[in-house]
Amino acid sequence: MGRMTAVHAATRRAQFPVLLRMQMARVRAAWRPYLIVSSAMPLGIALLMRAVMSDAQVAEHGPQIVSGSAVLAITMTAIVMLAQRVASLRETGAIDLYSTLPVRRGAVIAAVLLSFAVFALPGTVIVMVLGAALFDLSIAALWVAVPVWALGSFALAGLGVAIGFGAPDEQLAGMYSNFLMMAVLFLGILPAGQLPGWVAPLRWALPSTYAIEVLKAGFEGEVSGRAGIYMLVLAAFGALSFWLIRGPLWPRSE
Amino acid sequence: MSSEAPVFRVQDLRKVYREPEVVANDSISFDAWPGEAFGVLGPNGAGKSTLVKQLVGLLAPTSGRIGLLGAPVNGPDDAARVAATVSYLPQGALSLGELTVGEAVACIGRLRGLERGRADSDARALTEALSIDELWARQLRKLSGGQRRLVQLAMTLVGDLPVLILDEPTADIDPSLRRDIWALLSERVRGGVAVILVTHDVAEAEHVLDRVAILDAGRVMAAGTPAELKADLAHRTRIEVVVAEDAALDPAVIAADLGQDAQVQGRAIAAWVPADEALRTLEKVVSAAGLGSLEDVRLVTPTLEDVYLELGRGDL
Repeated sequence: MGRMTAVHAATRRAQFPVLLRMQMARVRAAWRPYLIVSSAMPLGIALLMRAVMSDAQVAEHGPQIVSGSAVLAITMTAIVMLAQRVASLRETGAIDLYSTLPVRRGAVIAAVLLSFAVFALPGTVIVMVLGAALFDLSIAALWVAVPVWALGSFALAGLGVAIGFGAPDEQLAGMYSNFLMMAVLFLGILPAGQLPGWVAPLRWALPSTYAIEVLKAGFEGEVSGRAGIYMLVLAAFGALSFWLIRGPLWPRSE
Repeated sequence: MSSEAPVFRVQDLRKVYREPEVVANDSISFDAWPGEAFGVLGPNGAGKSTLVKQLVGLLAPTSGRIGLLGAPVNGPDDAARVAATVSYLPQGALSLGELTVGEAVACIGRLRGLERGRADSDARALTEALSIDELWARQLRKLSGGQRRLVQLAMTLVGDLPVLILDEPTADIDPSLRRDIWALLSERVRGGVAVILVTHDVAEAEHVLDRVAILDAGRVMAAGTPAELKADLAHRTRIEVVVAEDAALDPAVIAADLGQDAQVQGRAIAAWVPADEALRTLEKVVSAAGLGSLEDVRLVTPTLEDVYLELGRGDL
């Protein structure tokens, strides 16, 4: 057949940087909204809480509030903005484009998740640093923020992609992801003891809760084995969502 | 062609969409060969895009078989395998608008296995061939509709895949560039590439297509080489007359001279007549009307577009 031979698709190692570069190009167009959206609301909430709390309450709940705000910053990017982005990619045919290229779905998804983890980073750092200053928290044990950012972004972005794949259009993806963001906000930032009794257990259904608990332990300087378990749970959430969006949830035409 | 195996072998293909139930393709069979430009023509909604989406694995057929180089294509699970052989230019908007033109073309080349240097040089060559090299550093979202289509075409051509499926490749593109595109595609075909071209621009496609299937309402209405399809009309010639704007002549009078099938649109009258009577009929019309009353007079031999239009009217 001579000419009729398939090309050799880029090797797995070569594919991923190209896919990541394609995703990261979005930074050029949209870094301002990513930074502003991911940091403004969490910072505003931290400021509000600081303003209405007594000194005793600040000392007691500060780590929870700043941790929740930092994870909310990840949520704003990795769930709300990513869900809308993915829905838009689906609507404009970009998902079909990837389906007609000799690339692995897993590599495409990993590139999308990593790019949004990177987009979430500046806002998260800003919220943690300013929040710590606002609530007079120590950042000495905040090395845990690195794995929390990585694992939390991965797990939350998996939810964002799932919403983007499942929502009928970009507007509904925005609405669904905002509902989820509200859940992260109320179940994550508000101290568990102040939630209604039947609501409190729901916290543990969200990956954000585990990220918040580890960050909180970091601010309190009490990182223990439990933090390791929570990070494993986060990793499991991430792995499950990756498997779901790569397989059963990957959009299929009729 | 017969000494080689077909690139695509499509047998009795049927595709039914649900909710609402629509039969988009029915009883479609054809072979597409290496070094051949195969055209899928038809009006909007004929089922052309549905057909090619099944060829590339984006849609699963309801029934029937698609073979690519002997291996079955049953739907999305086969898309990645198809993508190693087939490059597909879809209809519709260009995604990934944040990429620059150069990045978009070179990245797709790299994903198709080209080394970085080769991907860049091929991207440069393609953008020059399509006259978009000056847009190299511009983001896709800042391009006009026609420019975006050219970039999509470059993204489809990069990587030198042996099969190209192009859905309306010249949509939104100005006439001078269309010629360059047809020339580029013809060059690929001569080099052994199989091109499956979906279009409703029949007049242009006639010059580059080796074989054609005309679809309507999801079914193949006619198939063959352009010459074979035109053979049914070869015994006829079309007379086209336009009455001058200031002439006191009723176009219906000329239409009556041209026969009962003559069609009148404003001042223009057209009719098919037997080829051996065409000159005599035309002389009769001109002498009756007076040359000064006519703005334009033409004798037109059948084109593929005429075949297409006649099929649409159910005349063939």
